[in-house]
Amino acid sequence: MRYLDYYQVMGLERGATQEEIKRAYRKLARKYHPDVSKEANAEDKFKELQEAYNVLGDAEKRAAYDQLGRRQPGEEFQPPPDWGRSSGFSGQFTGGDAEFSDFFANLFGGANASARSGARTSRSGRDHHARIDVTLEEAFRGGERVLQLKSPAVAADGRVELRVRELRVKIPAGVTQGQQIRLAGQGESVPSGRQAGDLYLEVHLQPHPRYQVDGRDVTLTLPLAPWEAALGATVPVPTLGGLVELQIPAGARAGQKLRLRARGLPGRRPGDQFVVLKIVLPPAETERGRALYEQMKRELPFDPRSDLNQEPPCTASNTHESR
Amino acid sequence: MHSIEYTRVEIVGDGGPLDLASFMRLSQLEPDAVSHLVDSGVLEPLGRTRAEWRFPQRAVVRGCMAARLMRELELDEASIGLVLDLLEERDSLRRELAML
Repeated sequence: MRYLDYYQVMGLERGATQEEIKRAYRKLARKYHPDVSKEANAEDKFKELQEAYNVLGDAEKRAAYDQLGRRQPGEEFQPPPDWGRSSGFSGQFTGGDAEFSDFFANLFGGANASARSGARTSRSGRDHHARIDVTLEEAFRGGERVLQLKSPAVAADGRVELRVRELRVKIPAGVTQGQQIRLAGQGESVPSGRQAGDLYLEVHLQPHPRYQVDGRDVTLTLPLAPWEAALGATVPVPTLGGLVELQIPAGARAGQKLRLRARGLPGRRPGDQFVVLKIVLPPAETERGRALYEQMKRELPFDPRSDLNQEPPCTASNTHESR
Repeated sequence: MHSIEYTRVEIVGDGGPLDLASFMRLSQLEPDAVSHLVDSGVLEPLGRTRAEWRFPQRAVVRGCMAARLMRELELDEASIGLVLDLLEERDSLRRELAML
C-alpha cells in the first residue's frame, strides 16, 4: 500500500496543535464539501480531508500515525510487524463504507462507520451511502453502470483487507439531481437471519455543455440571426430526445424564453425544455457584409439608445453640482 | 477474484412521499432535528400533524443535504435553512449565468 501524508493533505506542519488541526479541517471542509464546492475534484479532496482529520483529529490515532515516521507520499509502505499490538488499532474493525484508503484500512481497520452510515436497528446491517455521477443523457435514457464496492474484511491471517465486489446497476430513466437510488440489501452484510443494510446512491448530475438543468426542466440557449428574430423562422433545436423544429415568432427578442412541453427529463410529470433566445450578429468582415450594415444604417430609423437620451423621470431635478 | 452481481434498483420516493420513519432512515436525521427543520420551514412535509407527515421528493433532497452539511461542516439547525437557501440561489444564478 502507499503511504499517505495526512499533514500534507491538511496543509499543516507536523508540530501542529490539535486546535490548528481542527481549524484547518473546518476551513478546508467548507472549501471542498461536495454540496458547496464546485471544484471538479471536490469530492475526492473532501474524502482525503475527512480521512486525514479522522486520524490527526484523534490524539491516539495521531500519535500512532506519527510513530510511523515521515515518508514520501505515495511511497510503498508496510506497517511495522508489531503495529497491531503497539497501536491497539487492529481490533477496531468496524465495517462501514470503506470510503477511506487502503492505507487507512490497514492501519486503523476500516472506515469509521459512524461517519456515513446510519444504523437502522442494532440487529440489521447498516445502510451505506454513496454518490453516483450521472450524465444528463443517462438521466434521460437510463443507463447501466458497474460499481466497485470495497468493504474491509478480516483475512485469514488476521489482517484487515479491502475486498472488492462489482455490482451492475441500472440507472432508471428520469433520475434528477439529489435523488436517491436504493439498492436493497447491498449495504452492510450481516450474518444470515438478519437483514442486510441497503445501499443508497445519491444522483449527482454532471454539468452538461449545452443544457442547464433544474429538477426535470432543462434550458438551452438558442442562437438566432437578427433576421430570424425579426422576421420569425422555423429552426431546428436540439432536445435530449433529438432535433425538433421550433417556430420563432416574428419580433422575437434576446432573452425571451420559449417552452417545449415535456421535452425535459421523463417522469410521472415530465419536465419541459426551455429555449432562451440569443441574437448573434453577423460579422462585418467582408465588403458585402459591411455594405449591408451601411445600408441598414442609412435606411433604418433605429436608435438603440432612445431610452438613455431622455432625461430620467424623477432624478433630473435632484441633480446638482456638489462642488 | 470477484464476480459481477446484478441488482434491482428503485428511485426513493418515486412511489410517493416518504413517511417519517423512512425519511429519517434515509437522511440520517434525528427526530428532534427533523422537528426543528420542519418548525423553521427548512423542510415542508405534507400533512399537519407529525403522524401525518409525508416527505415529497424535494424535501427528501433538501433533508439529505441538510443532514450532510450539519454533520460534516458542524452547522447547526438554526443556520442550515439560510445555507440551503443561499446555495439554491447561487445554483440558480449560476444556471442563468451559463445561459448568457
